[in-house]
Amino acid sequence: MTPPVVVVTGIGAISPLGIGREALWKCASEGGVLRSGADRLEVEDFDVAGILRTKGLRYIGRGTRFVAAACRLALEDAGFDDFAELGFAVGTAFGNTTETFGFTHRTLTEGVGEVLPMASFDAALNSQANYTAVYLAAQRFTKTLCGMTGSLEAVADATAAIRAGRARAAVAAGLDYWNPELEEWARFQRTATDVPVAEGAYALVLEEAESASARGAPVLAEVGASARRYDAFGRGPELAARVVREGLGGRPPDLVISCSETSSGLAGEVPQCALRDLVGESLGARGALGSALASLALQAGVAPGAGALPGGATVLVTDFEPGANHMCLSLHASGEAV
Amino acid sequence: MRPRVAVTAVGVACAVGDDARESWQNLLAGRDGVGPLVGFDTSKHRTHVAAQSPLMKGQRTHEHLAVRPFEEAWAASGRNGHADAEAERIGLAVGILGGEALLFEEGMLAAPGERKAGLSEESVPWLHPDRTARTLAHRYGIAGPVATLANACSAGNHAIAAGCDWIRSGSADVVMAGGFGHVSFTSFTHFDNLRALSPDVCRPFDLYRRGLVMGDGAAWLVLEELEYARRRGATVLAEVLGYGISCDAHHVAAPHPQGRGAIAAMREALRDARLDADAVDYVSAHGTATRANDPVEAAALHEVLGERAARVPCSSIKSMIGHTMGAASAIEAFVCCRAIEEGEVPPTIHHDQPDPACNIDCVPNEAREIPVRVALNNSYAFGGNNCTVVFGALQ
Repeated sequence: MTPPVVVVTGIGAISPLGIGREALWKCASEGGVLRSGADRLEVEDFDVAGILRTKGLRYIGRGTRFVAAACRLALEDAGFDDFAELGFAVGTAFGNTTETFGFTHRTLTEGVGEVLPMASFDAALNSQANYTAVYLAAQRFTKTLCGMTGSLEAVADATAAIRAGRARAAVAAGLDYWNPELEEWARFQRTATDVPVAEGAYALVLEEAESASARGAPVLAEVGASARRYDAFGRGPELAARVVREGLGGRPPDLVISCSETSSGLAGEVPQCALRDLVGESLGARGALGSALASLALQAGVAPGAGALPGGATVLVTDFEPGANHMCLSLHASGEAV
Repeated sequence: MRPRVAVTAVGVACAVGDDARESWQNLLAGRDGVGPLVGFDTSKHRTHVAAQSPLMKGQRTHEHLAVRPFEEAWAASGRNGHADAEAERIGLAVGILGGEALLFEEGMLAAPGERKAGLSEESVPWLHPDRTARTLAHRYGIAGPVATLANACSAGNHAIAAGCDWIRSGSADVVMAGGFGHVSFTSFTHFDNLRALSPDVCRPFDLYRRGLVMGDGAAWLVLEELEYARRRGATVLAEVLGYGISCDAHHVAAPHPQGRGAIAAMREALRDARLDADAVDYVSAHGTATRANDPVEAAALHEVLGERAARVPCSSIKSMIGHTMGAASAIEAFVCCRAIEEGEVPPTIHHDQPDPACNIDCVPNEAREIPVRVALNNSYAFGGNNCTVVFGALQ
């Protein structure tokens, strides 16, 4: 049996680039928000209550709010409401680190028995996934993938789950947010001296093409092949080139969106769009951001900062973490996936 | 025909054993690994016991606990080196609760008023939850797909499911799949705060159960594409026949009262394995001994197994080794493989008064010899993260 074609039908963003799909695309198309001298980029004008429209928000932290809101916006964008058939995968480099630290700190300063049980709920690495899955009522699957490439893994894994018949649709998301622990990490990594760290959450609604068509959903892009290899031997560019060949599935790309610093090896041959030039380092959320921008570029027929795309275009999203996962995923103009 | 997935080696560490052989012998003997918790002050907590591994004694990180059973599995699979080309055909799937905590706690416990005391130049790299995957991949030359899955108490099964997917899709020939978990101040306080911990022992499915006991542990399974394993003459311990994943989508910390997600995960696993419920010979239960989990799991088993539910042996090794979080379902997967291999299933100890709401055969207090051709491995987690894996004897 041929696996179902998987398409992108909705985008959500809680980002320094903007809140929601239209703001994200407008800002990215106009060159992004990177400012010289800034050491971090934070989300502004985020009305969590207005987006989530639910009680109990005081019990959840910034990261969980970001993810749940990005997913809500993506599902509204897709007009999707069959939550019993929905899966959820999220990638993050650091998860709810600050809530975990905060919980430990509070128990030490206020006393073990003094901290309310509700304080425990947001204090785990996968708390944002737990809350969001419950909030969305996503019954098919939930998974949290850790690491810088986590959210591109989430997009690939959610696609694979739909192709395997484990869900009819899924939300794939990425998240990281600015916190005191991250400040220490950034200082340690000296990231702040190179490029600012950007917080944010991004979400894509992925669906079986047939189901999306049946409900008349607008299709932004079709998901193609993906590839994932680990740079255990420090081979960087050589490994990246092999991963790119595998991830393209035999189709030359019309645009490469780079989520990380390492080159795809296609510079000079194919127009490039680097997320670092638009919004800095988005950590574990960058793969979902790259996939979202690839989908929007295919739908608009134009690449951010790189001109018009040809009909039936293919966009390759690459994410190569030095000494760790090297990953890419291709997306195609609607009706052009192989 | 889709590729089949074989289990060709295992490595285990827990409170009752530093390796697979010792752990299995003590599990069959019903040895209780629970004792007074050492490592941090619990005088302000409600409970003071845990099932700690000797491998964690004197350790400042979990690395030794995670690496040693990995080495055991790696060596047992006859894989003491490989060609570079082969490295890209080997994957690694790591299930975790929350990554490293001990180094951060060390600083905060030393200076309880200062939050930043937990962050030092030594500890900051451990902020990466995928740190263990990075360590293992580099140390063992693993260059295929690598993932760190933070699915908490069902993470081990999620890692096995990921490995299964990679082998079935042709992305890898071999996947090291498993997980680790250790008792930390933060996790212990977290569960104590939720009043989920037992003050003494762990009594799954017992009328007088009082909660879970936390434990240290790690386990790794070597998964191989069956034909690949056969070509290299590997011994096949069991086959991964299928898996099912679901989400309760009900509450961040409580299971769905009718076990909706647990039922869905078991049914999907059996469908994926192309088996009827009648084929199931043994269930390794999630069996945490919390008031909420056990009756829901029992009810879900009745829904899936029908009238056989009260007769199919269904034990919880958490009664002996506690709840090892990210490692729990990986260790229980090891139990399923050994049960299939050796025709004997471990008991649920401390089972004195059956709970009528848990009408299952939990193999009370003594191991039992039974032929096991098909075993279900159930795992559930906060947020309703459910994953069931089906293991079978090689046909």
